[in-house]
Amino acid sequence: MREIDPMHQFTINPIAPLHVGAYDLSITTSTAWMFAAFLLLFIFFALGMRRELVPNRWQAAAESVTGFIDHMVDVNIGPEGRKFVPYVFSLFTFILVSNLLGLLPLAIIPGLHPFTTTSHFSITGVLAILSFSIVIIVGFWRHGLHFFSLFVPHGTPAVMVPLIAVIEFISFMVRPLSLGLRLFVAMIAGHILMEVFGSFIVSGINGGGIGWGVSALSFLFIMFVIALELLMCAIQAYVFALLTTLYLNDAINLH
Amino acid sequence: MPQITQLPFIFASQFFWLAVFFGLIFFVIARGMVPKIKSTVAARDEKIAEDLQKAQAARVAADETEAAWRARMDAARVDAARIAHEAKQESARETEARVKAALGEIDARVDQARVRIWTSVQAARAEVEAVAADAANAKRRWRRSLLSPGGCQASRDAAQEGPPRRHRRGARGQAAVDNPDLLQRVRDVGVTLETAAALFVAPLVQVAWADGSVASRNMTRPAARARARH
Repeated sequence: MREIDPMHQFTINPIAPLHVGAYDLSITTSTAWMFAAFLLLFIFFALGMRRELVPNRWQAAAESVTGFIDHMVDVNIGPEGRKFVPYVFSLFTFILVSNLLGLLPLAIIPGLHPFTTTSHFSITGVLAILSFSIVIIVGFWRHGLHFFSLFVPHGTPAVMVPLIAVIEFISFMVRPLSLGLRLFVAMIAGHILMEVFGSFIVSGINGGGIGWGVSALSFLFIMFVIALELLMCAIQAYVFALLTTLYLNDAINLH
Repeated sequence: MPQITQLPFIFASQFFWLAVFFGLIFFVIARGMVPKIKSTVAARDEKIAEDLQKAQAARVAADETEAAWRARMDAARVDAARIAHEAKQESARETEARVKAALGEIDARVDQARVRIWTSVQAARAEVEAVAADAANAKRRWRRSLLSPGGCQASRDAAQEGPPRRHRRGARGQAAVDNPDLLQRVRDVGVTLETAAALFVAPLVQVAWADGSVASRNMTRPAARARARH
């Protein structure tokens, strides 16, 4: 019996080698899925761009997504956050579509594997650092050195200021890490879980007897896990975008 | 864990292609297409707000029209009430005038009737006086005839005498009065010389009753006149 490696699904395979100078920019499976995400988004919003006064269903769906992001930014940042709407929108839609693409049951087509680009921290980490960089740049741009007052909350006793400042600074610096890791870990954990219980089903069927019971149980369990994962896809995209807006709010309005 | 083991080999590619596709999403979709979608939404919201405003204006206008209509209706109702009142007053005045005119006419007729009655009464009274005088003469003659030896013959003679001068002056009916049968009948009824005076009233009563209605006025007035005359 072939050994099942639940981590194998995260392997990136090269499709077309591409080298530019010292860098290996080969087109990989990950690249292909990022392209798929972009293409889907493009099609979705292109079809939603009919600009009818009375929207059809597709237009209403596209408008509800843009309205959702608008609302989130308005609520968390305020009118000054308008110029960050495209960035938050890109984050949310890209992460959401990438997450959902990874859950597609494409493996039933021979030779095709779904791949979750957001299960690589080389992706989520870069996005997190991008958000963090924007927060820092905006913070210093708007407030200069006064931005450091972010580390001293209002009403802190003078004695406590150094300690609080250190704690606040650490928590501030941890933000990109937690932002990137949260998404990456949520995705990887869900996929491993599904992979493991999927292999249980197959092994159980081959085992016979008690194994069939294990298969049935695993099948039931995996259904719930998939439902949970679908929810997680949306929640993680939402959390990433939401936390970005909250951090941006800190940078724009301080405390 | 491929994410770590592969990292050195794939990082450049991951970073580059993420930048490409995330950049495409950012510039093409988020900055190129989304504003158009949002402008559609904004245009729709504006249109809805405008329509609502129009609806509000229309409602206000409708309310105003209704208020004006109500005011007109109220004015018309007041007018109608006034006209009806005036017409009622006019008709009442007219009726009053007509009633007054009719009353005047009736009074005139009543006065004429009274005059007629008065003349009739005068005539009747003259007649009654003549009858009474005749009766008195007849009685006297009759008494004389009873006392005289001629007896009834004298009475018959007296009857055959010409009527007294006064009677000749009076109205007709002298023959009837001179008629001893009539006298006899008068006496049989119980009329004496004293009560014969009541005969004055008889024509009055008759005339009053002849008008067709028997009001107390008609009864009392002749009596009052009779009383006044005595």
